[in-house]
Amino acid sequence: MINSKYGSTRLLRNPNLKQVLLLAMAVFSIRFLIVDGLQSIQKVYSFSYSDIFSQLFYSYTLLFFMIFCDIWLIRLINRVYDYGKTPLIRTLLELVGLMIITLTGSWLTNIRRFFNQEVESIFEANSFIPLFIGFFMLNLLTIVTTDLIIYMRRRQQESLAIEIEKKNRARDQYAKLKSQLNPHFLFNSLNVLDYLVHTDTNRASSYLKKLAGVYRYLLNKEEEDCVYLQEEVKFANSYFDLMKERFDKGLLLELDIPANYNKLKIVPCGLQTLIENATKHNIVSPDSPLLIEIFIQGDWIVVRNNIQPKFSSHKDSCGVGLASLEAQYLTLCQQSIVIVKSDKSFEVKLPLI
Amino acid sequence: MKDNSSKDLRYINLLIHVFASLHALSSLLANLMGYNDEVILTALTISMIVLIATRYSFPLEVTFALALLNCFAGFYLGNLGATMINSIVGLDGILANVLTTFVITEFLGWITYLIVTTKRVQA
Repeated sequence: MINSKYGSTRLLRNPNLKQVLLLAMAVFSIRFLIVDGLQSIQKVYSFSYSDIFSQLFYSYTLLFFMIFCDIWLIRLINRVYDYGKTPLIRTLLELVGLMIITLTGSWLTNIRRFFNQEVESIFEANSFIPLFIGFFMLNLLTIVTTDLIIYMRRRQQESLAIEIEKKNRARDQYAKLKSQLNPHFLFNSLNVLDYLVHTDTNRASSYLKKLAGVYRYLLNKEEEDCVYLQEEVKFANSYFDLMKERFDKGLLLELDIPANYNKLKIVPCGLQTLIENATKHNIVSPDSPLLIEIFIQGDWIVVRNNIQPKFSSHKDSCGVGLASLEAQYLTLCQQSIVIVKSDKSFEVKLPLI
Repeated sequence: MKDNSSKDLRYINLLIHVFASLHALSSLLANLMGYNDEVILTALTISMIVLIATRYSFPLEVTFALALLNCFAGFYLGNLGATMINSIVGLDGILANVLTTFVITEFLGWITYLIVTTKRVQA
C-alpha cells in the first residue's frame, strides 16, 4: 500500500452485504418513487413536466443556484467523509442535502410565483408538489452525476500519483544501485584479486567468494527498505574482509553486537556505507591503522573511527553516503541519523528499527 | 497483470451477457403473463451494476449513484427504444420490449464497465 495524499480511495473496505442491500433498496425506492409515484401525482395534481421545467428555466438564476448548491454539497461531504469509508452516512447526507436544496428551490419559485400573482399562496400544494418533484429529479441527477465525476477525477489523480511514485522509486533504486556498485571498489577488488591469483590461489578463491557474496547481498536487498541487523553485520564483515585484503594491518575492526539485537533492523548497506566512508576519508596504513568500532548504544548502532584525514578527501567527498542514509531513515521511520565529530574520532549513530 | 485483465474481461463479458439474457427472459415472461416487468428489471439492473462496480472496488456510494443513473437511463431508453422499434420495424409489442431490454442492458453494462475501468488504480 503506497501512502499519498490521495490515499482515500485506494484502500476501499469491502462493502458488506447489509450495506449493499440497503443501498440497493434505496435505489429501488427512489426509482419507483420518481417514475411511478410521479405518474400517480401527475394524475392527482394534473401537471406536466414541461410546466415544471419551464418554471425552472424561467428563473435561471435559481437553476444555477441549485446546481451550485448540489456541487457544493458533494464537495462539502467529500471534505468530511471520504469515498468508501462510510457509504451509508455519505448517502444519507446526500439525500438530506438534496431534500433541503429541493425544498428551498421549490419555496423560492413559489414565492416568485406568488408575487407574480400566479398562485394564491406560497403553501399551495397544487403548485408546490409538482415543483418539488421536478426539482427533486433535477437535483438528484445533478448530485449523482457530480459525485461520479468528482470520484472519477480523483481516481485519475490517484493513478497519476501512483505512476509518479513508481517512477520515483525506480529512479531512486537505480541511483542506489549505481552508488552501491562503486566502480572504484570493483577496480580495487579486481586488482587485489589479480595479486592473490598469482601469490595464493586459496586466498584468491576465498576472496572471490566473498566478493560474489557482497554483490549478491547488494542485489538481493535492493528491494528491501530495511534488513535484520544480523544480516547486515554479516555483510559488513564480508565487506570488511575484502577491504582487509587490500589494507592488511592498516585496517582494524572491533565489533560488539549482543545476540539479542539481531532481530532489530537497519537500512540495507548502512554499516557498509560507513566503513567505506571511513576508509575513503582517512589514511589507512600499518603505521597508523584505522580502527573502526561498531557497537550498540541504547536504541542506536554506532560506527566510530579514529580521525586521520587524507589531504584529498575533502575534494572527493560530497556527503552522498551520509545524505542517502539520512534520507532513507527519514522516509522509513521519520528519524535522523546522528553524527558526532571530535578531534580524535568520527561517529555516526544509526537508529535501530 | 495481463492474465488478471483478461480474466476480469471474461467475467464482465459473462456477467453482462447473462444479465442481458435474464432481463430479456424476465421481460418476456412478465409480458406473456400480463405482469408489469419494471420491478424485476430494476432489481436485475441494480444487481448487475453492483456486481460490476464491486468487482473493480468502486465505493458503495458511487455504486449507488451509478445504479441510480442506470435505472433511469434503462427506464427511459427502454421505453423509447421499444416505441421506436415498434414504429420503425413494426415488431410486436412484446418482442420489441424483449429486444430493447436485451440491447439496453448490454449497452448499460458496457458503459458501466468503461466507467469503472477508467484509470483504474492498481493498489
